[in-house]
Amino acid sequence: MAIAAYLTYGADDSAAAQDIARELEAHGLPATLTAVDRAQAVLDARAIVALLSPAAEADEGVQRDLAFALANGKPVIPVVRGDTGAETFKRLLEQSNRVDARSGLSNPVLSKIVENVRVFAEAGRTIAMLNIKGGVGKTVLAANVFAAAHLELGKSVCFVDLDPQHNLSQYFLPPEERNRVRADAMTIYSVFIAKGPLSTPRESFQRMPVQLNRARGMGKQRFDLVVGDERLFEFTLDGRTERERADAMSRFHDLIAGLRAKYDLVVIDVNPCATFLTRCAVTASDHIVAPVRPEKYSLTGLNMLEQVTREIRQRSLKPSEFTVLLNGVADRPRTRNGFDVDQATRDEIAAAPFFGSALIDAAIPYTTHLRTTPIDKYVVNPISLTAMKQFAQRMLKESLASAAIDIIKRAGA
Amino acid sequence: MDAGTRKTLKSLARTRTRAEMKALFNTIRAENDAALFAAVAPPKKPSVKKTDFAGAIAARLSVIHGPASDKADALIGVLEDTHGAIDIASGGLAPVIRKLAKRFGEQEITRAADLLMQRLEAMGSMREKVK
Repeated sequence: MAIAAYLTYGADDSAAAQDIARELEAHGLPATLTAVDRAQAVLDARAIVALLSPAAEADEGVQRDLAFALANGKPVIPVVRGDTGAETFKRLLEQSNRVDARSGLSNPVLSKIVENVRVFAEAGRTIAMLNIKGGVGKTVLAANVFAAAHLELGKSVCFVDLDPQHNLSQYFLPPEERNRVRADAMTIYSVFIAKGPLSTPRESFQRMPVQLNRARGMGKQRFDLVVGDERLFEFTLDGRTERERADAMSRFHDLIAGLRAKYDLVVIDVNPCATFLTRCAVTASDHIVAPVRPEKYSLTGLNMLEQVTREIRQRSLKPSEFTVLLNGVADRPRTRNGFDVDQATRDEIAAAPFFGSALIDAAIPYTTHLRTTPIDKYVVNPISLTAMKQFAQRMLKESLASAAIDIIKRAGA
Repeated sequence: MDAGTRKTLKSLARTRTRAEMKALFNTIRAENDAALFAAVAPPKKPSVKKTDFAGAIAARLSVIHGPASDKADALIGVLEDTHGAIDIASGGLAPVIRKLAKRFGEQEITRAADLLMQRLEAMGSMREKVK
């Protein structure tokens, strides 16, 4: 089994850390206590157990571990050992999965830590659909590729619509239904707002997903969506204070952590370009899927994606953290000026030193079934809007399913 | 004349008089093939007029996007709200409507379809609007 937890702690808490590590090991959850390369240890673990105390507050290593974990999509389980006033710890203390160990490591406290670590050890993967260039098909591919993952591979999926344009929510839900969710303060905007009537309490986050597969006898395999909201644009401008943004990111990470525990795949649809929302998505994700159209501007978006992600994660990246998916390829060679446009794009990416090995064989064909033509009909089961549930070309369905298989494999889901 | 034709004529003549046979030959000479075939064809079964109740309900639900099985599921779902779990497998819309009609009656199914449409109308269609 992969490392379930990496423990970060101050010098005074080393005995407590050893007790926790022993308890985790006894329950079949491998834990790392010390590491020469602490950054790698954080990356290798499924979750970080942070012992929060005055000793940890004074320890630069702990602060670095936590900042690195938060920048790299690693869930943190705060174990409160003593009162602290550090700003970094303050937001961790608000997390719904915190464990209060101020009165010692009793058996119930240890059990709670084990239970929380197990949730993340067995949790699903978070995938961000991201390309700095717009119009490459992030939203439509998210809906259709992961509908294939759900229908063909039996994966439970929860989308999080993090684009202020909320096209993914539009794709699946009629305007009135979205307005109702918005009126109930159950859209993603209410996660980003920490206080006031527009805010959703953290305890209610897990009630936010709206069911998208409403077929009878669905069982546990869910296909859901945390609805988007155009008011998210406030977080792409500079109208929100630093503190409001920090609160928003902490609450967003809490939402994702809870969803990971319930779903095989959490899919974040991100707005194109690099904003605070991009930072939220990248820091919460295990894997990034970058759709690319066979157009020359798409390649610029891909190059920028690597730079932006590196900047956010504060480290050099591995191609295995990405999947590049060609979208909109023709079913026969499109020759222009003596060369095949689709093949030229594929060759260009395949030969690239970084993204070359991230390009998967599956490619999504250009088809009218993936066009978002307006309709004026009622929908009883939103998943029926995807190509997988329509009389679409067999080749398209096979491409979507094989893209889903490749992405899931690369994301380690 | 071959043996088979002679055998057929003999079987025709067995119970008929010479005058009757002559009248038959005259009729055969006068009529064309289509009229003769139509005369000897087995009687058509009267076509049973299918009740188009299922068709009417399906037409009522045609403003719903998606496969018929989803509409059938939604209709069963409405009935389950009042009758509890209904043990009818998902399937095509018309077969499901027929099964439901047998159990609950046409009036109840019509009411359920109306209720489903009311709920959907309250939720709104997929049409996007500009402020």
